[in-house]
Amino acid sequence: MDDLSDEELLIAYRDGDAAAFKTLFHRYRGPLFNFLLRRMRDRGRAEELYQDIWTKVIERCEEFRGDSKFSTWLYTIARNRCIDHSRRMKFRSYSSLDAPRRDSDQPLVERVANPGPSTEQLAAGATLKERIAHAVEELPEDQREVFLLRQLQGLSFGEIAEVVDVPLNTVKSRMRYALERLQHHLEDLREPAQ
Amino acid sequence: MNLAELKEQVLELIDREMVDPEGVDEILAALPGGREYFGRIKAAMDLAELLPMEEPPAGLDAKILASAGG
Repeated sequence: MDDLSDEELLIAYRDGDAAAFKTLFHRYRGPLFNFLLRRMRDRGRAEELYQDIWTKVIERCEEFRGDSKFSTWLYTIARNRCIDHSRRMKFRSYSSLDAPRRDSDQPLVERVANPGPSTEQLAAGATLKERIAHAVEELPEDQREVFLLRQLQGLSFGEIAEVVDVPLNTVKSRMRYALERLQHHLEDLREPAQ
Repeated sequence: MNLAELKEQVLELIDREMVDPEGVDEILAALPGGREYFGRIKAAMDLAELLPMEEPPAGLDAKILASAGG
């Protein structure tokens, strides 16, 4: 089973082989979960979307045409779900922050005195890995998703271009800008040149 | 190649370095600031390797596999 391609595994699953799905699932579960975690920056949402996306894969595997790779199909579904979810959350958060609360005439947004620690405060107390994770989460969304698809799943720039639906050169530029930003945020971690 | 062109092609150059280190070194040596920029991007890539990976909850995995008929 391990020597079958992703696409062959999906076809085998479609033909009724549940073990094929299990193999495919284990190839992607870690990278997909971490993509969602870093893209959404919220564990609860990432878990919700993780389950939702795999459910979509199970429900829609008949639609997989095989003219694209399974990885790009999976991440296109994942990205679309993230976008839909963020849209819904934005709408909900605008409504709830602007609306007066039952126990007060003042909207919640005006009553939040302390939004939490600053970026600098967070960075100062963090371990190396936490700092890197934080720096990644601070990347602009378009750069972050390209960076994560490359870093976590090892997609080629061409595959990423297909997933995010932009030209190849745009993907490469976004990756470069992401690395420049990371380097800037983590400058102090570099060893001094000999 | 000037510095702006190097920036545009830095990802290709990093890949190329694995198969043609001398060729890349020649390009960097001929370009003031080139080696430094190249080193910075490579350092960022090295740090990115340390991005912590988290495990999805086992309960969710079991649920997904059960719904797939596994």
